[in-house]
Amino acid sequence: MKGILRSLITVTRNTFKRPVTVLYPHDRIMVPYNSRGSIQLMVDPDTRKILCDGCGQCEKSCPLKLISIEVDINNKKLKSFYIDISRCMFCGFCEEACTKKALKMSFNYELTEKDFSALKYDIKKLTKHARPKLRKFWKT
Amino acid sequence: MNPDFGYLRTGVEKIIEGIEIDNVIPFINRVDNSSAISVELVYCIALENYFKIEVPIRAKFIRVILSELSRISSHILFLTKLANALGMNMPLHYCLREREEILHLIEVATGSRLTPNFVRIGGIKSDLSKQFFDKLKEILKGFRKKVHELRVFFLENELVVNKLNNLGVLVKEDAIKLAISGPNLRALGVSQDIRKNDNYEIYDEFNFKVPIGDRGDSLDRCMVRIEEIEQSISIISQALYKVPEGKIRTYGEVNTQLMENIYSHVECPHGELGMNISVSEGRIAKLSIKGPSYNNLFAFSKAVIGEKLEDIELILASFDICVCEVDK
Amino acid sequence: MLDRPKHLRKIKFLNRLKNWVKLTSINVYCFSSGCCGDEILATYGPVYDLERLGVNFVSSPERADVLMIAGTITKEMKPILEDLYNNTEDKKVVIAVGSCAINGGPFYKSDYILNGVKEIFNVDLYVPGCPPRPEAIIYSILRYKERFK
Repeated sequence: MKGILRSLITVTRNTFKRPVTVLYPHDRIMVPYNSRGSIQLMVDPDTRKILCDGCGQCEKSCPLKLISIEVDINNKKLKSFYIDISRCMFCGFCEEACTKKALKMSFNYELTEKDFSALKYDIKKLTKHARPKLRKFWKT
Repeated sequence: MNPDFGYLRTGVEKIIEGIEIDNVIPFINRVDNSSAISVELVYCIALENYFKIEVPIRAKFIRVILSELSRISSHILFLTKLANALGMNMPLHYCLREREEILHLIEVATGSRLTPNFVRIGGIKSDLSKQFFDKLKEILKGFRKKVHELRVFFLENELVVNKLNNLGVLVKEDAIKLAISGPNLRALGVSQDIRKNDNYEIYDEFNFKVPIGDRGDSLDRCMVRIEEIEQSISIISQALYKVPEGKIRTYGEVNTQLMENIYSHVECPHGELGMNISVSEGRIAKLSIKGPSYNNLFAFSKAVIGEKLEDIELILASFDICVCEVDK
Repeated sequence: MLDRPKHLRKIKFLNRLKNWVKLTSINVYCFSSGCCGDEILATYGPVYDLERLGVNFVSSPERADVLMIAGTITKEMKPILEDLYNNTEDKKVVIAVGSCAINGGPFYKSDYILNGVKEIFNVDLYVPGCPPRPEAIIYSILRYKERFK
């Protein structure tokens, strides 16, 4: 008798609770702030240009040497920026090495591709999900 | 019975040679998939002891909290494997639900669920916010009750206890000959825990017991691990209220001369994890990992003699062998 | 305009019926190891319940529509994987989960490692991440479903 009562109480309590299951495509778990997803290049909020100037710090710090950067010698501007995401192990060393905060690990984790060649990200793909860099509203 | 291994050999120890000291950590934490942070901890402790870098106390507390969290998640993974081998479907889902909360806590702190890449030489990567500690307090409050629920599933169920009792008994002399360690040794009645015997971080500040079995069968191995979950919850709840404010990393001077055979060991969820490092000119010259699962696999092949064929999967699950760590 | 023969219309209807059946029940065979295997186990759990999308984890490759290969692929595994691929159905989809299974991952310099499953047979979907989050694995199943719509 005691056991039946206890089970009834737990059933009635659980019917009004939120279910544990997350119905993924419709609603999702909030990803923590410092979670390491795909890599993105940050954009200047005023001019809408890429902040990276190709200093090459991330190229050196990558333990697998997956990043390749080309810089124009005349302009000193960024020419091309490639990351081979197929071997990337998402360690976050490139984010730590960047002094201008032009490179960041984003929240995006839906990276499934059909072609193998699409896994080599160029500038267009790296800035697709990029948001402008946060700035302080009041200048101190 | 002879184990046949080599199917998961990655050769991490060879790849690492010639890489700078700071860049090694993401490679070696893939060795142990269930508690990656303890592998990072051994590596950093070995180099800190040699260079005599003093780690700030706040960093030490955070290291202890995270390694105990990963111990809890690893032991719950053991219970899921055991439930799967026993053929119980409901406890399996309960275990996976509780494990998800702990993994979420680890992700909030470090940024990744299984491969944190968080411990650095002389401290930790980034400071933990106040939100993390609030969340940890909130989850720990209800977690004792949930562990009790799991205990009811496994140890107060007559069918399970009768099945696990006297199954896969390991003899003490065999165990000491094979040099096994961790919960499998403690189930035999040997009180050997590196956290107590050689307190490597600030483990001497906390009050905790080392759970011990007496016979060394599968039931004892299961009981010791459930008891250890409760002990590590009590360690975390003691550490929460003691965490001081302050720095999190000291940048000590790293000599670039040749040095050989620096050794350190740590109590990881499977047993004693040791690492032997030699460095020349700021790069790794040789690194070798001594994993506990390798010895536990041979202990399994000793314990399985004389048992029924259908029980082999259950005995294998009760030894909690991490296959990545056997082959490296 | 000419009328199409009747039996062709019948085949079209049968194909549509087959696609609808395949949408609602997907048989997945997992070949997993290491930390990617732990994440696939998490998708089986109650938090990210994969079975609500119609996914069945089967234990024999003969019944599988989808082959999910995760974790490190060594040279010793190659004959086992070839055997597995030949035993499955003709129209199957191969999903490579994790950077080890795609292209060797962090261990690609090692002598013991194959550079991904793509060296043995062709792969249809790639899921990068080391290990990918459980949501990323579910997303790959959703991409697989798009094929039949």
